[in-house]
Amino acid sequence: MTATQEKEQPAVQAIPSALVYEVLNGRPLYYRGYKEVIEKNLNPETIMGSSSLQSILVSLIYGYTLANRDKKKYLPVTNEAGVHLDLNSNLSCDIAIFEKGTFEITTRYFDVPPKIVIEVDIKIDLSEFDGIEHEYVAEKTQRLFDFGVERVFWVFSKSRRVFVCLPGQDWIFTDWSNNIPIMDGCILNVKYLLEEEEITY
Amino acid sequence: MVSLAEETVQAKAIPESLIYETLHGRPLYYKGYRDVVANTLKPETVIGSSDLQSILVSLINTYITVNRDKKRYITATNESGLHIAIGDNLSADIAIFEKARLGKLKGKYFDVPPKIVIEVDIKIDPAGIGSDVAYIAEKSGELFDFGVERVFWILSSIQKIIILRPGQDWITTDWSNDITIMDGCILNVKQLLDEEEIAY
Repeated sequence: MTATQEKEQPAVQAIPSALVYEVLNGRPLYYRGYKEVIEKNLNPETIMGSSSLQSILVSLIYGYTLANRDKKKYLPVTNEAGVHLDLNSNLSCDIAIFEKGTFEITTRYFDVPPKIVIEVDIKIDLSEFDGIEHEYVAEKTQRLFDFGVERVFWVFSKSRRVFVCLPGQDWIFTDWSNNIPIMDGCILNVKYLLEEEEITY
Repeated sequence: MVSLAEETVQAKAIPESLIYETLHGRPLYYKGYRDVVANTLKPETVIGSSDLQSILVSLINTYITVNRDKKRYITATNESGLHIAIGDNLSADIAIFEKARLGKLKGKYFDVPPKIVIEVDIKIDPAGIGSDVAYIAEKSGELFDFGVERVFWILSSIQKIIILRPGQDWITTDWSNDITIMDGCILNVKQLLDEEEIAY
């Protein structure tokens, strides 16, 4: 055991911390493409950004939740919002909807659970999960539920579907042309949002 | 153009024995095939299923074989070959056929659709098709077009089962839940493993 740990340590240390996207249950998860950055000596900035479709989806969905919420109760935030769960987990959320009155505004990461998290695609390298997206979705979603999050949505732009995940319930993976209730008074239809903006994809 | 030429050469360099199935004319290779091509491993080291996968296929196939309507259904396993069209040959871990549709067996791949397909884990390199989600979507879609009515996908690493039906939402449920495979056949994967005292 000790020998393995010693072997692994130098490899881990060789990866610049700038390439860490988030830390889940003590494991650093790196941006997709990070290996290429190291091998080819690229700047981290070449891979850290979102794709055009991802950024537009986050922007439109965030704008929609901002316009269609109960303003007295909820505040959506975006821009890979950092959520500090404990010493072993710092997660990034594309869109997080907090209940007002549950958090203080600081210059650090949020340390209380958002009520709702909306993720758009997967931005990490999946080697830690044997290349299987379902494994990452399962672990991150469960970690968010354990922290107190009540609903997690994953928008998958390639499949044009959305995972709807609630604690202790079956996940639903539905076509993004369907209406999806995010919270009271806020029904999301991703396809409709894109078409309204005349975005072709 | 350069990248196309490069890809062709690369594709030719991969031995055919590493193809798990062909989906829409595209060969999909066994997970781990890159290590074989890089000459570090023999094909046999990646072609087999894991211990948990084989036991799951064995237990589930037996359970269904015992609990089916024998007059109407027959189960097939062992990576059953489904010949869907030219250039389209899919593999099914467990396939449930209606006897009335089978006709005389020819010693070749099945060319009629099973009613139900059960897959255990993902045995291809998902990078070839984008991701596991893309693979599950495309393969299930192809099976539905062929005439399959239900696809169940067991993911042992997260102990969940995805239930797929044509044109409907995917349902992902814990494998500790009861799942209706067909009339009179309710599967509970966790219970099957517990009954056999399999630790995993």
